[in-house]
Amino acid sequence: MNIQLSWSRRLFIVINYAFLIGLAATCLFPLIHVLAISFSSSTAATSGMVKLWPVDFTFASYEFILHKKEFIRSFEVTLLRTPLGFAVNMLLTVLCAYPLSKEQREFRLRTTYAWYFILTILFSGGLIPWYMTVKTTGLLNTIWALIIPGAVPVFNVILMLNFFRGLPKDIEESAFLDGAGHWTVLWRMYVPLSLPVIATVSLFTLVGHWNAWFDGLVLMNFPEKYPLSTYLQLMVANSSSLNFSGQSLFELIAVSQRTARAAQIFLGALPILLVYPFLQKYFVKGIVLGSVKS
Amino acid sequence: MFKKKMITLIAAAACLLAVTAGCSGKNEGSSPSPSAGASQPSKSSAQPSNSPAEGKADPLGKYDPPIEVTAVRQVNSALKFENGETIQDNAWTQHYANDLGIKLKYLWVVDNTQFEQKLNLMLASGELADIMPVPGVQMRQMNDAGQLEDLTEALDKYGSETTKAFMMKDGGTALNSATFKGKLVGLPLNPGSTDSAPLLWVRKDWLKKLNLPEPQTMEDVFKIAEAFATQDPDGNNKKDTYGLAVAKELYSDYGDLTGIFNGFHAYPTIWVKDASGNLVYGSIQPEMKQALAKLQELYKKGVIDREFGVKNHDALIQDFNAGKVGMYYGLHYSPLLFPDAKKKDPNLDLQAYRLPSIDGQPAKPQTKFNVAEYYVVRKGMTHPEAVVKLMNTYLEPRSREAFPVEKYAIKGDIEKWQYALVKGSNPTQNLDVYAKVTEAFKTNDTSKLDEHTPEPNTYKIVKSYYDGDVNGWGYAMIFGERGAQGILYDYNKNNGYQPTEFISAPSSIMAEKQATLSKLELETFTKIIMGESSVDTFDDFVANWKKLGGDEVTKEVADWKASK
Repeated sequence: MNIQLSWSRRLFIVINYAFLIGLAATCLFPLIHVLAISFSSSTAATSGMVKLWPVDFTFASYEFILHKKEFIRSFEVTLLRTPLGFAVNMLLTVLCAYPLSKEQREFRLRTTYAWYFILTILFSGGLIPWYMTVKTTGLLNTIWALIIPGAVPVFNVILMLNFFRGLPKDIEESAFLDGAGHWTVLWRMYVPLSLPVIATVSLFTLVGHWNAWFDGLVLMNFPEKYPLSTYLQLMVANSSSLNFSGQSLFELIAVSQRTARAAQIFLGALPILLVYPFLQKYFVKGIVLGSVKS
Repeated sequence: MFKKKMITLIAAAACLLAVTAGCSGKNEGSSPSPSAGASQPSKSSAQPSNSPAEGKADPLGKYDPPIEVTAVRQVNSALKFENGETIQDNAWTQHYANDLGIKLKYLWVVDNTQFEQKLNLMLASGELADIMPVPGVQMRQMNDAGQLEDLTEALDKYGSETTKAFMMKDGGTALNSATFKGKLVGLPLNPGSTDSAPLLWVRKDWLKKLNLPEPQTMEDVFKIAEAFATQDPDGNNKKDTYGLAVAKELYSDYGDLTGIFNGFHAYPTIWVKDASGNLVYGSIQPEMKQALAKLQELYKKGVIDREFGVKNHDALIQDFNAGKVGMYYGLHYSPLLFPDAKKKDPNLDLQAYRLPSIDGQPAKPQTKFNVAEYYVVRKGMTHPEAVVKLMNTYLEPRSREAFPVEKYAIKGDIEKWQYALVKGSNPTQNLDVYAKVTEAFKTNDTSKLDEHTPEPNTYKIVKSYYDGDVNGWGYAMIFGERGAQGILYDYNKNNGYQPTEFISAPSSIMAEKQATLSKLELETFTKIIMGESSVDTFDDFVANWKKLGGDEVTKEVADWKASK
């Protein structure tokens, strides 16, 4: 197996690798930088001495955060919100995608329904109607305000619908012949066969819930109920605020909290980073290849 | 180390600001009611039905039975609590309930950076709280929509001596800004304007090292800046220092250009009188052009950082900490931005100076109208005077035994004074503190420091710095012997400021156009300084500014002036 590579081919491989490594590095550097800052002393961080390696290594900022009630509390909110939101989203995505993946002759109003969903991607009511709807339905200031308004992620439904349509019709028909109903077909055949798309959509949903901060800010009335991203957003946004009012001199001090901020960002991002490798193995194509012999 | 420093500084800053009333209230003898002269408005239908008999109004009287008052508020996300206290239930809310009979209920609480958005949502949804602290723009909007209660009579009848004295300490300008057609619709929280004046800050150790004189004139400033940029003041044999630090925001608390413009007798972003007495916008006056030409020259020479156009205020703070900055324009509190710098380099010797001038005329530092918050009351609330009582109780000088500092003002880095919904402020507090602290140092007698003000604490921190504690450095820079407040005090005594002449909350047109116009201004000036555009583009900028809504805004300001 000693294949002689041509020069141009070798050159391509070298350049290709260099390019991809460079690309990966640009994604990694900011993360490593934040990590280095979080382990550095405040003096070093505020004078911009920290690049990719901690200066004056210390755990002080992590200690500081783990004793911080607000951080822990919003972490809890996120830990509640993400699984709950994930479950609701995934259930509704699958349930919407299945009927919509059928042909017009099987499901007469399919196109109407499809447009009904797609319209919500194209047009939105805007901030105030959104807020008023949540308010009048009594969801405001409850955990459900973060889950119900976005319960059907239409984009994900379309992704899944298209995947369902790509599954060979014959499998489904043979199941019907054997006496299976729609529920059986959906849960026993479609879902197990759609692991790649389910993994993708799961990732979108998890990351989406983990990172969503704006809804928490607007729909929650008290900071105690903010999810982690909202809390982090405020920590980071706050520091660059230049609004000067004589009453808030002390806010300036927040600027030197650079290390603590970095540690919080890192701790906030860590759990969701860990999800990626576990979903990796499902991103395999061609699972249904060879299931139909004709 | 990090934590300890933080705590000291936060404590210091907070104590200074913890408004605890009872200053040497030298109001102008007379303390007229703010509504004096204005025709008393007809009683609205919503006047308190069970208000006590005329003349017996007690500024701190208790409601019996207690009333429930709803409110909204902003809270800084860094605010701390202890012993299970929350923003909804703490020493202040308990004090309101027990001593005033006011049960406070928050409809929502949000971080200060997001307050306006949440407030606008509330206004749109139409369900207002009884008491709302709002910025000027929203106050005007709500007033125009007829949503606000008239507070003229409430303040007149229920305002305590202290409250009224503080309201008049700025000559009543803040109250005026909340008065529309003779009706007072909001209680202003006025931190005073003197603190918004820019000063020149120079590293004296660098001056000494390069044998340079202290800056007296603008020429000195240019000379020093050039030397700082080229003669290696930090002695590391690298050309890594800037002559003049400028942040990309241009107008900022540190790395500011306002001060240099003021040296050219130009007053950007504020409204000034022109030769014929009309109010005009400072940024479009011809003096600006000269200053910009000079800045362009400085940039070309490499005195201003090549990258200033992308360096924000935060990045510039890092540069100061790293010892790259030797001169900048900035506000009185700017040393508090670099608590680490002095620790890192004990030789650091920062000094504030009066603004140098380009000619024989002394330069006037500009000040802005600084009221960020008004306490307004929803139209139809049954007890509009409750808001006045809340302010009274905040400002009332009380004994420390009954109202312990640790419970109501500050404990360590827990700033409990912030829990109060309605706060009051002394517009000249920092100047007063400076005067008293300086006096105490001179006479070595601390007995004259007023325990109801931040004076004793400020004295303590400044003294700790003189005794060798580096944590007090920032405070010594402000209130110490050669401190910034001393310069502001002088300016104030000699009427040396150029205050904005438009003393009002921004109008709706102004609020609408402001963003576009400011962006145009910032972009044009940045390009001119960086030499991308010639200085003559300033003339185009003026024309554009007028066309893009500046003329409308100017007309509104003129109308405002005519109505006064």
